[in-house]
Amino acid sequence: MRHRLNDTDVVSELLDGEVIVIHLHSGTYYSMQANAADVWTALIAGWTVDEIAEKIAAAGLGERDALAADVARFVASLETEGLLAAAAEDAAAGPVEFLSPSPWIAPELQVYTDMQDWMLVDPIHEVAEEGWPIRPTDEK
Amino acid sequence: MIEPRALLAEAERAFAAALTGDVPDAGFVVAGRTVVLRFATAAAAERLTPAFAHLEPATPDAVADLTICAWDDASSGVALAEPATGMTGPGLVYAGGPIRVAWDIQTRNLQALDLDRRLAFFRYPDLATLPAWEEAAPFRRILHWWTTGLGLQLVHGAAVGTDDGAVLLVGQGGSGKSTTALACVGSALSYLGDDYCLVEPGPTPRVHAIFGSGKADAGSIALLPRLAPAFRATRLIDGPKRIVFVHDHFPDAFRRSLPLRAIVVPKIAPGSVSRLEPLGRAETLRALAPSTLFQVPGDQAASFARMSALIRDLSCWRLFVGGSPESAQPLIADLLAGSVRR
Repeated sequence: MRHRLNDTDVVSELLDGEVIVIHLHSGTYYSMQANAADVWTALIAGWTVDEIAEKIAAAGLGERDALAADVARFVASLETEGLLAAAAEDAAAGPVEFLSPSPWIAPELQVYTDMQDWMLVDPIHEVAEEGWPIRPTDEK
Repeated sequence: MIEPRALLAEAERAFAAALTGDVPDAGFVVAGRTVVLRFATAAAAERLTPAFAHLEPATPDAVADLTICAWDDASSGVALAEPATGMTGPGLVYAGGPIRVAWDIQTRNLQALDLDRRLAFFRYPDLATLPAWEEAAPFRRILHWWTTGLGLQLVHGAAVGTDDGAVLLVGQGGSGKSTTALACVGSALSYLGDDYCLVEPGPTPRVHAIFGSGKADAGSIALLPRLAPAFRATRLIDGPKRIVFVHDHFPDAFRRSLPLRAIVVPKIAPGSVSRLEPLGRAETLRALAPSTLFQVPGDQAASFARMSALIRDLSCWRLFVGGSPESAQPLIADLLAGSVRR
């Protein structure tokens, strides 16, 4: 399966080898460093888990199946956080330069929730051209 | 269904009915643009203009780049037909084409902007319920909508500077940015704001003052001897924080605009010595972007891209603030003078 950035809800930036991702609707933001930054960059460029594992294995950083398991766990956490969307069936993977040096460390997502209070103070329900639906007061 | 354009039209109708013509327009210049403030009642003008007293006044014959019409139902006697959302959430916002509309369910504040007509509306049901934070930074959402369309970025951050330029102090509450900035009031460093500033990207980015309010809690006030009497006497209280209009007490403290030279992320540190260290760009973006995006919502993807680009182009620093916030001032001055290198 190929992914892309969930650009409806999420913004992302790579700076000095670290990826900063912000989920605009949950108030949560994320940091990914080293291998996590590389894997994220490859994922949103449309690489599959297997393609990423093969690339890393070819660099001599580990055994392919174990690498694929690490990457798959990371993808699951990104999907849980709503950071990825499914790419189109015929989407092609773009070129990616892997920046992190060895050794391989299973990619980790650092999660920051300290801005969520602001979402409670000033959260915004964005609406489309047709307007705001009128909902019963007990509906969240 | 509540149609946002119909709500904008209702705001225009209500303001036209409320406008007596007895209150002269006010106005200011920010980032070279003229904003005209039109009030239905003197009471609204009294509450919503002090935050702009530090800015260059608009000349009477100036052509407005934006006109903001402000009123409240109670003092004008004209009721807005409010949207019946039936919702309990805090707010709703619409952004489509040139139209922006935000309805705050809790305060019943309506803000609406038509970018094509450069015309905005700001309405409260009763000025008696106007929150202190709104008085400290009036029309924040409208000004963000408008300035982002001009390629400018309203950021959650403080700014101080010298003739050499300014630093943007960014970080979340408690990081020391407001205290560091407010400590510059009355010092050799000029002050541009302690909570929100307007950044103009470009080959030589600039930072512009926008709101003249300063905000501090009791712990910070104790570290600000020059401003402490004003903070203690203020009527504006926002939870644990007190708000003053700095211009009322130190009119010469302000600079309205300076070239932006660096981004500084303060951190309160033990000990009595302040120091500067180079800071990574990603960590700087973490300090700047989330708090800006969530406190100044709207056009967030473009805002994030602008902030990322700004950080790529400027040097980024961690400022460890030890003891008195005054101890940081020589470091900031040296940084701006170019005598601190990465």
